[in-house]
Amino acid sequence: MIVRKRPTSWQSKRFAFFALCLVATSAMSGHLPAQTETRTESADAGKGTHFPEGWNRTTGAPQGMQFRGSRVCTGCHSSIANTQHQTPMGQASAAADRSTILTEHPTLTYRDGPYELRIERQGDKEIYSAKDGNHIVSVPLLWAFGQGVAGQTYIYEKLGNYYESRVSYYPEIGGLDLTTGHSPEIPPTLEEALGRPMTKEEVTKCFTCHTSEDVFNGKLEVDHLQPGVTCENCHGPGSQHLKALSPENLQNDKFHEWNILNPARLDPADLNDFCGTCHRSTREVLAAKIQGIRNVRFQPYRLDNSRCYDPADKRITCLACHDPHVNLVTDLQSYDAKCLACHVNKNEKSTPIRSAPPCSIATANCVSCHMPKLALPGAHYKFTDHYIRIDHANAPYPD
Amino acid sequence: MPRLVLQKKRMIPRPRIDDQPMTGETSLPRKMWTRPSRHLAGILCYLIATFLATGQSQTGNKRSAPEIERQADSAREKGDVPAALRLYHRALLQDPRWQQGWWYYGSLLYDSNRYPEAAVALRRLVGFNPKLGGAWALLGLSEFETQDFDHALNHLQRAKDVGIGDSESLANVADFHLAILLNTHGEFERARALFSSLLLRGVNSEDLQVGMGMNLLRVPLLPSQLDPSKDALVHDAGNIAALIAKKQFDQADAGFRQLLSKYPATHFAHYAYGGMLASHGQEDLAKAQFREETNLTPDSALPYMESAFLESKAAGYHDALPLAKKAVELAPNSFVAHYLLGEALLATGSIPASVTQLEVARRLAPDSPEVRYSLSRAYAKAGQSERARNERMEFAKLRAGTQRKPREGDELMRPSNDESATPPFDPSPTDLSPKDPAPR
Repeated sequence: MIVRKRPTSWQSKRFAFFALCLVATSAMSGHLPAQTETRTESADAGKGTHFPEGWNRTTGAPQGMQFRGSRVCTGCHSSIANTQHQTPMGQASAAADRSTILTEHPTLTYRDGPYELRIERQGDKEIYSAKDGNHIVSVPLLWAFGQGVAGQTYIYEKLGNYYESRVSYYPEIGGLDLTTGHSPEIPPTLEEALGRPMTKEEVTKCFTCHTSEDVFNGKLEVDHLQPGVTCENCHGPGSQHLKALSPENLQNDKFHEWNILNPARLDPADLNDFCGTCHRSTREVLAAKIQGIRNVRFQPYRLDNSRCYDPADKRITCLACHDPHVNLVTDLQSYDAKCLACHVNKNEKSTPIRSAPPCSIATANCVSCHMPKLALPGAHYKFTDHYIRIDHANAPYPD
Repeated sequence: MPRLVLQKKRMIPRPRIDDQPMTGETSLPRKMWTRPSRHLAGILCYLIATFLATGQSQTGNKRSAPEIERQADSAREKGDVPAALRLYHRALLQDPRWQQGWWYYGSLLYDSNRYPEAAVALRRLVGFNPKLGGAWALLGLSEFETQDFDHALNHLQRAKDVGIGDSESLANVADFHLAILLNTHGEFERARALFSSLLLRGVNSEDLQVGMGMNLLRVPLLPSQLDPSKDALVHDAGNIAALIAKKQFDQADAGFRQLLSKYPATHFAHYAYGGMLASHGQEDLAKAQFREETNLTPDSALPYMESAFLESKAAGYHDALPLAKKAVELAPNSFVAHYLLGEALLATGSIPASVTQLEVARRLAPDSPEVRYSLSRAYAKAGQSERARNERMEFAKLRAGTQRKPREGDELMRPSNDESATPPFDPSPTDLSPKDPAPR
């Protein structure tokens, strides 16, 4: 008998910061969870959702449990482990001196009123400085968060506190601009021109999503940090999984005894919440009252608003369209099959399983109309709005 | 609900007036807080009378003013209030549908401190023309002066809904009185929004400071009912509330520390401090403040709800559960308490109990998208797919529909940092808050 344990941690975890890291996907890759044409509420939902005992993504590994590292995972799961490492999520952070963007741009500058901000390679360090006419302050950058698909922001430390850089790199402009969320008002001091201090909670939330294997009993231990999202960031610490593996379990598909989480087996809405721990769930967005175009980045929330969204239907989840182990599929037509899992096309008869109405305009490239790309002011990036809808011209942004 | 124990000392409903303005800011004339000045009333009279005259003309009811009306207008323009009142009264006896006359008559009565009669006249006027926000405001203020507080609250709210128009001064006075009446009804969040808005519009007076202080400490009394021995405490609290409204959080933090060292047993001071800390991501410190508050006010559900909310936000649903249960026990009619308990039950696997709690929350707050969303999730977990879909549709409708009026307790749905704070004015698209996540 399968023992179902309910996950808890992912349900409302907030402020996980790689909202711009688009979930890697491949509609045709074969890595997607098995898609069926049946509603899943009574199928095998929950099977294999066994979280490693005591683990959740917020508080990290409990006492007695260890992260084993992706190399160990690769021993058995080499194909997906290797591709996942190359994805934007896998590359969600890097030590600043290993940032490809900073390596390719040895000097980056930005003029902020009376201040000149500069990121410059000096020896084996990336030095971030702010200077006015007379004075200069500088710090070594520690971390580059974000692979740079949409942007890259930098983290530095001063007097034991972490700071977020006031400027970020944006590939669209090929240079620096204000980090999203920072006030355009000119900072009163050089120190404030560099960046803003992060609260303890923000630090934990940022690092939990951009780095891996570094949270133990709710405490961030940067010394153990692995850059990017590694296997155990989503699947949980692997020590018990390794212990639990036995020929009998492998033969009998005793998922619950594997002591590892397969998010693909979560209930549909829970799965979206799981992804929402970093990409922001509906609960978080509602609680934070993040209104207007600012919330276009939060895909799980936007998807939840779609008319066609059904919390019990596995055909409309993050993983229904995206495979986090491979790069994002950018061929829009490849997503048509996902829409047509529920919708019929013109001249097709609806069935009990595929009963959603046909599009009166087109039969292909659904997302090009129904998931418009929207620019977030100041972010130098157009986000695919996951609020699936009929997008009328000049209609206001639907919150 | 326990609260700051204040004895009812003065029953005069008018807010206490003091000459001391808040530090460094221009204050309005003291009189402005009790009623619009004669000058203001004059301007308002002109604006509304013009509107009324235009309205009558446009509807084809243009009337030739009888001699008595001209005499009344002339007396008013000369400042001969007794004569003007007498003449307007006679004119209105002859033509009781003369809206302009009712307005002048009512506002002159108001200006002459004849509030009961002013209320009668203005009630007649809004009966003829319910779109006159200024008349509703003056009616509400007249009723306030006659201690008819329930009607005053309704009519000042009506004025706000209709819109008072260009008269900023009247709007300020009306908003202030509405806010202190909301305080007395325990609608502290709505009152706080009004107080803060007044402050940010540049209004400043000691009356506002006192109102904000009573609001911060959740004292459901009129300022005039405040025990004078609590004046210093309320003033300090008002200063802190003003600092919060102006987003001067470091100073507010220092203010809270000072206040709590001077008055450690003040009810709801820890609660207010915890709320500010929570909204700035200092959740551990906030929890400690809420714990202090539960010791001081053990029969208030509010600190329990705040604590449960913070625990839930950090995925500590098992810790949130007893707190939410306690909140429901103390406040069985609070949709927020039932919502928090339903959420905690849902996350800890007690699905049927969760559905029950969330259904109660829905009954108490059918227009809350948060509740609808959670209920859809609970139904989905319970295998009730059709209900889950229906609730989700309701959620989507509520999100797409008009904004509902804020409700007491909504603040518990607030975010953990300033990102979420709805700014007092509509932000421009680029008005991103300082704590927005950085791009990746």
